[in-house]
Amino acid sequence: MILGDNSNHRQDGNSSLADRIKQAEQSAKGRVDKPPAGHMPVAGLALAGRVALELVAGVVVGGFLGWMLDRWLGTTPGFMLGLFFLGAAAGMMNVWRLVTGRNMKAGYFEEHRDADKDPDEKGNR
Amino acid sequence: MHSPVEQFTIKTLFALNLLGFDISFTNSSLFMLLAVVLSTLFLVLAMRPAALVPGRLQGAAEMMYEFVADMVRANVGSEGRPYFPFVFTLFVFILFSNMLGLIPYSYTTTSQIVVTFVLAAVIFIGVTLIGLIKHGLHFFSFFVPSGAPKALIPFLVVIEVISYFVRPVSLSVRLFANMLAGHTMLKVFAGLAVMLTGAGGIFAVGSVLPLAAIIGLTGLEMLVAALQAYVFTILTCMYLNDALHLH
Repeated sequence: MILGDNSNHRQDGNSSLADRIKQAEQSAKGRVDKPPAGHMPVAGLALAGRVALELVAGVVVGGFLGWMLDRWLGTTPGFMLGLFFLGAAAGMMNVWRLVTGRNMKAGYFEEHRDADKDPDEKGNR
Repeated sequence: MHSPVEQFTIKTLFALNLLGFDISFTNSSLFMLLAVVLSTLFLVLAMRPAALVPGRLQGAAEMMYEFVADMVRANVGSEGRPYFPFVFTLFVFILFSNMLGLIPYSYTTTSQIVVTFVLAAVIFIGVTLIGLIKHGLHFFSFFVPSGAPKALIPFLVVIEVISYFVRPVSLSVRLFANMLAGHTMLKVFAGLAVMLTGAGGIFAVGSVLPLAAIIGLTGLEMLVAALQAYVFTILTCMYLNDALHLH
């Protein structure tokens, strides 16, 4: 008698728990679909600062390396001029990697090689 | 009237000299030491109870630990485990230095390029050495882009090398510039408030505006202080990941 009561009670509890889990899952689904509003400005702020800095840093480091090489080899201003522009290219490449989510990694990537899936990237190549 | 950049002056507290090198204990050293002592005290005292259900202080310490642990796990993977203590120490030190600097009359050590560049240089050299030890000479394949046209490879290698050397520069300049700009801005508004009050009359009433701006900016600076500590640490994780896994 007591056992029956208990199992009945448990069954009731289980079904209501299952319902509640379903409800919670559905409401969670609705919540996930929305972008996390609180995170965006901070991430954007950090990204904006990095993009600007990356452009400048490429030129500065390229120019500085060239200047050092020139001083060492006595070829002023050959290396400085060349590396200045290559540094600018490196800066732009870093920005491109940053905004495409590659996070300033050196080298090219698997997804870049089989970029055929993405028509935009194919056009860029 | 104080200049807004006067707050960044290094003052020698007591002079020290080692083999001809000036290693005086300055206000910058004092606040670095304070950051180390306070963060150690905070972590040790917070974890003293070691309760199963953490209190507020222990909760804060555990959140910090888990935040960095998740960052290392997500960005480096399980190979990053041996480097977790370093990354955590780095994060806590920068966070405490930045936050301590926001207290009036204190000094922001991270507003000096020397400090941030030494931190970045240690990471840069360390990460390069880890890469060389793990992969030997294969490490240099890092600079050779795969799948590029042969004729372009010499140029691309130079660009990759430059972009590799940009890392410590951008890492250090980002932290230093954010701290310098924020604190200068705060001082400019503070100076404006003082000048307006000094002018008297209707101007004194107007000094409420820069004062309100300071309150808002202080909040923003707290965000920047935490954000820059986070950015510095996550980039360290990414560089470490590059060295451990190449590509």
